[in-house]
Amino acid sequence: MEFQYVYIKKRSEFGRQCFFTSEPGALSCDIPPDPELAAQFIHVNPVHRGTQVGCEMSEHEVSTDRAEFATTGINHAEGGWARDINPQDVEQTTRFKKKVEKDDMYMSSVLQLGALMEHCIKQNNTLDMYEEYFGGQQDGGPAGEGATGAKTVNVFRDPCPQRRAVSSLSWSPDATRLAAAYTSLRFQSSARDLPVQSFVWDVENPSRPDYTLTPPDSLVSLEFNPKESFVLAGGTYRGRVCVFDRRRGALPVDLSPLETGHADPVYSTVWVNSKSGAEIFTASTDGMVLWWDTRKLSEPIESLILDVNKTQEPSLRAAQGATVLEYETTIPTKFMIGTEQGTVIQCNRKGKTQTEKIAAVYQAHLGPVQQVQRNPAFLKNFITIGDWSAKVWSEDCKESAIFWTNPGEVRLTGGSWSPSRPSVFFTSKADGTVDVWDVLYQQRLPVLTIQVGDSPLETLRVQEAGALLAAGSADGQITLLELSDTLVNSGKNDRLVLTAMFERETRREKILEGKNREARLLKKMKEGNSAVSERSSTISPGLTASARLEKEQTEVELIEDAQSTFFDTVCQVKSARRDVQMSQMAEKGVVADLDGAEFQAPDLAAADDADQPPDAVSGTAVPGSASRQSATKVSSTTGKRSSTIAKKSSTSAATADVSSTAATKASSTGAPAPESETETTSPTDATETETAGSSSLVTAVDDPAALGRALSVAEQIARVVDSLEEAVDDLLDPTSEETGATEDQSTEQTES
Amino acid sequence: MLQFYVSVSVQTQFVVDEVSNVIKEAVESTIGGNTYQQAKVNQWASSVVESCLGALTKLQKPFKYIVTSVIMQKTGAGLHTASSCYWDNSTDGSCTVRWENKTMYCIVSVFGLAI
Repeated sequence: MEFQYVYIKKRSEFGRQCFFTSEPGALSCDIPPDPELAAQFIHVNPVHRGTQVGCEMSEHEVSTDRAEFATTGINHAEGGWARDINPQDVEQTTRFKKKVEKDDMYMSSVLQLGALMEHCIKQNNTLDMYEEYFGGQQDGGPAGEGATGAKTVNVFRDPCPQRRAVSSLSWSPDATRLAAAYTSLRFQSSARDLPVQSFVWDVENPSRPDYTLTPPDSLVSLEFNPKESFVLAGGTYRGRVCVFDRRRGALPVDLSPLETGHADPVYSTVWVNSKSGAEIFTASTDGMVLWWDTRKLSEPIESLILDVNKTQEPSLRAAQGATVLEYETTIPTKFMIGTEQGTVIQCNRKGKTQTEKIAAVYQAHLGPVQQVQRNPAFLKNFITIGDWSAKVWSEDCKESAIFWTNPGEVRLTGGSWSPSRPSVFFTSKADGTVDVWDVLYQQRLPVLTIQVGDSPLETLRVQEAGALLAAGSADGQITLLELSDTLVNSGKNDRLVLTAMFERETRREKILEGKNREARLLKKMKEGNSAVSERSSTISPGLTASARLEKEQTEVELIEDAQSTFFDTVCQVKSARRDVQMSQMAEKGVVADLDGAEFQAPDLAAADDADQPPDAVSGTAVPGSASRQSATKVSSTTGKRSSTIAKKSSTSAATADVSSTAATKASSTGAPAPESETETTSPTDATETETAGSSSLVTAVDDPAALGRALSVAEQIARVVDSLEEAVDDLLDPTSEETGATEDQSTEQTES
Repeated sequence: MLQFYVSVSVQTQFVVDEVSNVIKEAVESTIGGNTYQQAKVNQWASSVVESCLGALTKLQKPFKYIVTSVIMQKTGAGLHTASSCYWDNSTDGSCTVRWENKTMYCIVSVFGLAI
């Protein structure tokens, strides 16, 4: 900023004397520090400040150059020419060749190289490196290679606010639409005023149904007409049958009256392959199967009562309730019914009488049969789904299924064969899962388990192409699954292998059936002849009850015999031991009775002293009879310890005659009495004890009255001897002798 | 000693009040109402000085002016300035204005020396 100021100064004032005065230092500003203000600020240390040494650009692009690479092999046909030779030029090449040939090393190098070349050429000729090994085969393992899976394509939810279960699903013939019947199948469910509409969904559009069907009461089963995709037939909860035509609105075109229809919900509705194309038949748990003409639903054209008992008049009371119908359009006159009682009834429509109509009955399941379906490739085999397992049957085997899945933990609610793969079938379970089984791969477990939802699945339907599977659940939700190719496309050999498998299983069942029949016949015969002979043949089914009893008896006897012999031998051994001990005691006998033993004992002890180690005896030198006895006992124990078995045996042998004499004098009982004391003496003192023993024996004879008393005492003494011997083994140091002695003293005192 | 009483007209006298007002106005117009911003303080200081000087020269007085300004952030520190001069007391003068707002102080000193 430029400042310009023109000022005027009087000439007189030029050069005026400046009167300088000094201005003292004046404080121009004084701001005292204010710590309160400092509190408002924080010390920032360290302070982060980003820096970048790089130019800031508004737009910057970095990209490496693209380089295309290709990997190829090279076939070296010609090469190795020198650089100045043009390979195309024949003259140059010939000249070069001539020059090279004149080279010295030419011959040898050619030979060398030639050998190597020959090896390579030979190798090449023997093996065709580029041979295709498995060219002809396609992908197809048992369940197909590649990922087996299913993904949920769409979920259709019941648009009504109150959710009802999906009871039946049907695909339209052109596979664009799915008809679903909604109803509440719970017995006497509270909300009987649930909305009655059922819906037909467009497969692509899950947000709203394609069109609505309004039957008089909720539909339980619903089926598209396989010939015309506009027409549907349905059976209602109250037993009425109705036909809908999409072109003519939501209400049924025709409706059967309550009186002529079923008495129970119509669980299954199937279109019949007839000339008019307007015939359906329905089944219900009231035991009836009715045929209708859809043009005129006022009354059924034919009916069949499911009474399988072979009586003249089929009665409705004995009839079985039907839950599912099976009909194959290629076999127009036969059909199958699955019942509530768990049987599958094969029927022939052309039969005149009841017995003709009901061709065969199969006992399939323990509960209601949820689904019966023939295998689309093998019409003789059909699958039944019910209770906890799925069973595959052959028409020929009436007794049992040819194979079945292991009973699962969850109830099965529906299922179907795969239309495209004859070995694959699906089952839906009450825990909301769909199992995919492949019988060629493994029969124990499903190949794939798909958890569709949480609520139980009620019904399952596979679309005819085999790729789409619709599963309806109890909360009104229909899930559309798309199966992976491996589950849809079948391999070349599948059919052959499956045929072989079915035949094999059928044959096995037939053989089993035959065997069972034989066994039953045999049993019947046996029971008829039981009065004649009881010892029947060795065939286990032919064994009568009495023969079996006999067998058991002999076994018991045998056991008892064995036991008795065992005990006898034990007793014998024990008694033998006891006798030996008695004889041992007899050799040491001194005193007549217990009292007398006291006096004798010290003498024996004194005799023992000579042989025993002095310390043991001195340790036991205590006044008193009891102590004396203990002392002698102790000494005896020590003596026993030191003495060898040989000594004992010798003494026993030496005094064997003594014992024998004692026995003859029938004072064996008396002998044990003094033996109580004699045992305490040392076995080494053979001679002295001998004499003493004999003397004691003589004196002992005087008291026969004490025989009985002495007997028991003798036995007790025998036991004491055993315990003493054990104690001998345990006693290892002199210090514990006295404790052992006290123990023995106590035992002896109790006895005496 | 001889004392010369020189009559000095009002026009050639440093009038403190007038200068003080001028300064106050200049400061107020430049930084009045602003909070302390470290990025702008430099610019403020120079503009305060410039506007002061501009206003002083408009007074059309035969003076040499020296203007200094100090802007300090209110952080609780203390500030003390002093000045001392050797001049002709009758004709020259100085003025210091201390202006503050909530976040900063501004001290402007003007020395005027008669030509």
